[in-house]
Amino acid sequence: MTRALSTKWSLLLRKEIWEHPVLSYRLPVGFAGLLVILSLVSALLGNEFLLSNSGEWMADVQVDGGDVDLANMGSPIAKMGSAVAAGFGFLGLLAGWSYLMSALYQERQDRSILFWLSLPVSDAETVLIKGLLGWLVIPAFYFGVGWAVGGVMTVIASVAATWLMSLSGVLLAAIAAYGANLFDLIALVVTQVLWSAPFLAWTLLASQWANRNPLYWVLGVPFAATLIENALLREAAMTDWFWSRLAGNPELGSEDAILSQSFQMFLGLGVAGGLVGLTILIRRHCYDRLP
Amino acid sequence: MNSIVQKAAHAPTPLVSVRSLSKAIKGRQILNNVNFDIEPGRVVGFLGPNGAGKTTTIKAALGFTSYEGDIRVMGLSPRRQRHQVMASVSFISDVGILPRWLRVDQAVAFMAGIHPKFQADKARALLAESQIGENALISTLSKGMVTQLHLALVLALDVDLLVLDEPTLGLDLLYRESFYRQLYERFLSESRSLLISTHQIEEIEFLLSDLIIIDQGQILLNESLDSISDKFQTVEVRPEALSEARSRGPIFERVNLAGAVMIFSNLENQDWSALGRARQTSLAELFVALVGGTNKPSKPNLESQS
Repeated sequence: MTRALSTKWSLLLRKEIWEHPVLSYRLPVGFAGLLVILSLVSALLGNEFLLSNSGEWMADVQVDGGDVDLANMGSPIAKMGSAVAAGFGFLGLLAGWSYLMSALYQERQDRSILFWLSLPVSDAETVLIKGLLGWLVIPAFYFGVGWAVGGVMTVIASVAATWLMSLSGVLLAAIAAYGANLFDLIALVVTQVLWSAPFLAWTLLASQWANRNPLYWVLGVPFAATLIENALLREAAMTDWFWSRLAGNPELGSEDAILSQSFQMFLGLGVAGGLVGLTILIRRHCYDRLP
Repeated sequence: MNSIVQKAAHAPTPLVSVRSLSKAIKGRQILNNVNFDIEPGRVVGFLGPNGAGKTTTIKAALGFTSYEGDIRVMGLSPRRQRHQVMASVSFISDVGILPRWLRVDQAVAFMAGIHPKFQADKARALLAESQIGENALISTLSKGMVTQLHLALVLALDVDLLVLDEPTLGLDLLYRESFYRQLYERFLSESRSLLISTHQIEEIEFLLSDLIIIDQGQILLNESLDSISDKFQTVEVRPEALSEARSRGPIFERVNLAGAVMIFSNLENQDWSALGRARQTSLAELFVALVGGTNKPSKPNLESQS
């Protein structure tokens, strides 16, 4: 029974990936490949450039406001790789949001919902699988690809530095520093994913409800609510709370910040849970709402 | 009395039971007190003009839309237990509802993992008999091929009830013939039932055991085909016998150069030879007579009360 269920859910996930191949894997893998190629090209061209300048150019380079310590190049190279991985993580959040916007809208627009409804799959399973894919799986996959490509770029840059400047130990130092950054990066991406849960859940609900482009609902309703709240209360505390979930929380990413923000995090998860529950109810009772 | 009790005790439990089904949309009554049963092994034709309420009835029976009244499918409420109902029921709609981005092999793999009663080997064998490529994208298939694929997926399901809502709409004659032949050869059995809504009544007549005719949200006729052939009589009335024929109360009359064609109901053991040539009423004639016939004396409600 459990095996049948896991097979069913894994197929439901795969079905979503078949439907959205660009967002779910082609975009990050393609982008990663492009970055690796650009890294290789720039390493080769950069070496030629630096060799022609006898290494003097490096003296002007600054990282974190300080001059580059050529003997300890490993750390800044690893930071570059980590930035790439984090960038992929946030790109994954954006891709997940984009997916959620069409997840429940597209099937109604192309009328394939009649086929999906004719299968023994409950509304809760459908909504939860789609929600999990957009909220967790896509950002996690993007981050994984980003971490891999960040690692490859770290290696390429380290090898280039070693070859160009005859620096020993750069490669090992960079890889060690890159590995040490992993848990901080995971914490940053996971907390931002959790932080954005209410906004993503609202996007899923709008995808179920909208009869036209769900973006109008996703952004239009909170915008209208902000105007109304401002007009009535001369402030927008509630809607500001919502908008902050869209913008992300720059304070997150450290253990202290996670603890201090944990109440807000759980509150957001509770709101997201409520919105997902509402989405399931709407799907169950409003099959007739076809765009 | 005993025979009635005995009959009730042996009456098969209906696969589908619809009681007092009503639905209104924006103040317009779409369905009005619809009642019918579908028993195991029956092939029920569901006929009605456009807008009669066929699709709404079917969607209600599958739990796809809200309704008033009581519907039971395999003893379950389709509204509250749709996904459990759909484990024993399959459905093909009037429009190409298979997702266009899906590949044929993906569709088979998906069904195999999702549906406990799906036989992937059977689906592949059925598809191998067609022109549909295993890796073809559904968006590249013709409408006929999409319907063929959907039928193959459905025939590979070991379900008790198949519901078809205008499944061959827009298909050419060859596809339609192939579709119904496959249904007849590969789906129908003593324990499996079929509910089929279509306009092409003459093409499914050979399949049917029962007929339901609906118009303006109300059931006009709900009878077995045996009962229909007993109850209804078509007579090609000679011109000189028109008055006499009309006095017998036809439910339908169409005047032509040779006199008139009239349909009579519930007039058994009549001598029709004085009026003209009597013959069996075709389902198409009956449909026209009940729903949209010209020169129709009245629109009778002949829903079986049994």
